[in-house]
Amino acid sequence: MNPGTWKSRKYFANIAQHLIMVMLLVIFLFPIYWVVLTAFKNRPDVFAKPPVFFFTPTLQNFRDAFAPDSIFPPSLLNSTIASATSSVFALVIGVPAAYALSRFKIKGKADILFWILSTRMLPPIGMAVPLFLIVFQLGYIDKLITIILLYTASNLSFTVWMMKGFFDDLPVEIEESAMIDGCTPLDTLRFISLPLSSPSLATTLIFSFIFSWNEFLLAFILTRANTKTIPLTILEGIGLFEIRWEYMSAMAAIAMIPPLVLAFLARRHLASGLTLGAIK
Amino acid sequence: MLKSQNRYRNSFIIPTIVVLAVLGLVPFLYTLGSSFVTWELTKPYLGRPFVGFYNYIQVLTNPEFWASLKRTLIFSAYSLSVEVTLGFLIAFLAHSGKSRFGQTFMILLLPPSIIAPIIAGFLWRFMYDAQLGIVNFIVGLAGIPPQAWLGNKNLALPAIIITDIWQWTPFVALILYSGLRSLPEEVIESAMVDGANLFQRIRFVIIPMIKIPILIALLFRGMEVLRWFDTIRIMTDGGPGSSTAVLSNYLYRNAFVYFHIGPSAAIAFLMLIMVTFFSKSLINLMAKEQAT
Repeated sequence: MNPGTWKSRKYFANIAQHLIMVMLLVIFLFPIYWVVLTAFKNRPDVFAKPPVFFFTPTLQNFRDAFAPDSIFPPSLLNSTIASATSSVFALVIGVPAAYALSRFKIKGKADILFWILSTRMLPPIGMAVPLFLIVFQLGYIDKLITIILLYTASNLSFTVWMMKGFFDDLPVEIEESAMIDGCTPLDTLRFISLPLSSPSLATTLIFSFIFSWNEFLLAFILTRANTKTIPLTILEGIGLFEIRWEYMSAMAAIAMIPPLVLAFLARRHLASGLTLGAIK
Repeated sequence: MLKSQNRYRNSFIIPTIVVLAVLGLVPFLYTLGSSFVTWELTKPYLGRPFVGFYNYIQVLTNPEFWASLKRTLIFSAYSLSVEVTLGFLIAFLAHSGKSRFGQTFMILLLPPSIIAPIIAGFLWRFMYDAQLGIVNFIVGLAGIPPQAWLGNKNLALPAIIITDIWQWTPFVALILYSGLRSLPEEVIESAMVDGANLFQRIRFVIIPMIKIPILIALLFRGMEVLRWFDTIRIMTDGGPGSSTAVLSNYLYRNAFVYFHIGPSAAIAFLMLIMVTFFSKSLINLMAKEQAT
């Protein structure tokens, strides 16, 4: 083959490849960009036909979102508290379990692991009814602790699976020599395994946080006025006669930021985090 | 491990088991129990008498149940197949050639899968709006007249499928990309030396080696898509009519609109059986693949 055509073919293939990649990025990122843009628009610009990409931006929607009587700032607080505490609780409870499942011989280990995974298989919508009834009868509707506990349980199965996978990959020799030197398993865990696993711990925390932050169904069912979380505020702008698109866009734009920032921080471990550690 | 570690073993695991038992098992048993009684929240005078499988029979003979099951399966089948196919193509694209941007590209592509599904639903509801949605503008450029995407009972389900594809293809693509990256180069190269062209390489070498990541992607997406609720709720709430009412919408109506607790518990349990069956099949498939 003529070296000339070979090179130019590869060159065009390279250009085509990059072109398609750019196109794909545009397709997949455009809706997000569009909503963020809408957040800065005034009402008339939102309704403009054809849609406008260049306009005079305004911060009014954001001001509305943070107005004194708006439900948005409290929901930011609620979401942050719920997501953060439930992730940390899940870590504290789940890491020892993951360690034990990885290191110790336990009867019925496979069954326990499957059972932990199965708690993720229950359709939340199916549990919504009994959860609602139980919580209602206990008088815990609209209390933050309810959401925190449920998110903790949800994050727990994720945490155990993620960290077990990680511990499985961690070489035992260091721990074994520590135990020969007289460390108890707890000490080993605390002083040796945990420091070695801090990237995984961080990744697990980050993804737990993201999942909790984005959770809609349980919050929808189990909260009322006081403990609304961020995903619920999206429904706020849907009135009887109109939908306040630009107002909701401002809230949505802000709501998208924490998960995206956190995912960026964990970018080396995204595949692993999104699949419970199944993909390394 | 030494015998002395037994107590550690227990105390390490027990908190997890307790938490999951209380917060997971208890509601589950409650649901199960509720499915065997008559329970109408609006008619407390009826009490909660045990009725055996009556609720299940009621549900399984209700055409609405089967219709929503059918919609769920259609929704899932289309979403999953497109997501995996498209995901594979994207992953392959990012992985091939001499591009150094593959990894960065895959990360940049990911935001749709990171944001809350309910927000994704909002984004698309906005874009699909008949008056001010940008979708009508864009298809207008191609000569297609403006549609009420979410208001037309023939277009609503496809529209929602497209939203799901938009949101989750990056996720699937990332999984497949990681899978592709871990494939041994020598096998592919020897196939090239043996004269296989691109299609043959893909069909006979790459895809078999990437089966496990594909199954993992199918497992995770599948478990979610069968019980999908958030996005549909905010986009169409099962409408127009009931053209987008999948199982979770059907369940939601029974439980929170009509307050038929008994039947809704039965539906929930049936959904659980469906998801468990699906997951177990996939996990078994994966175990078989791993063994070979």
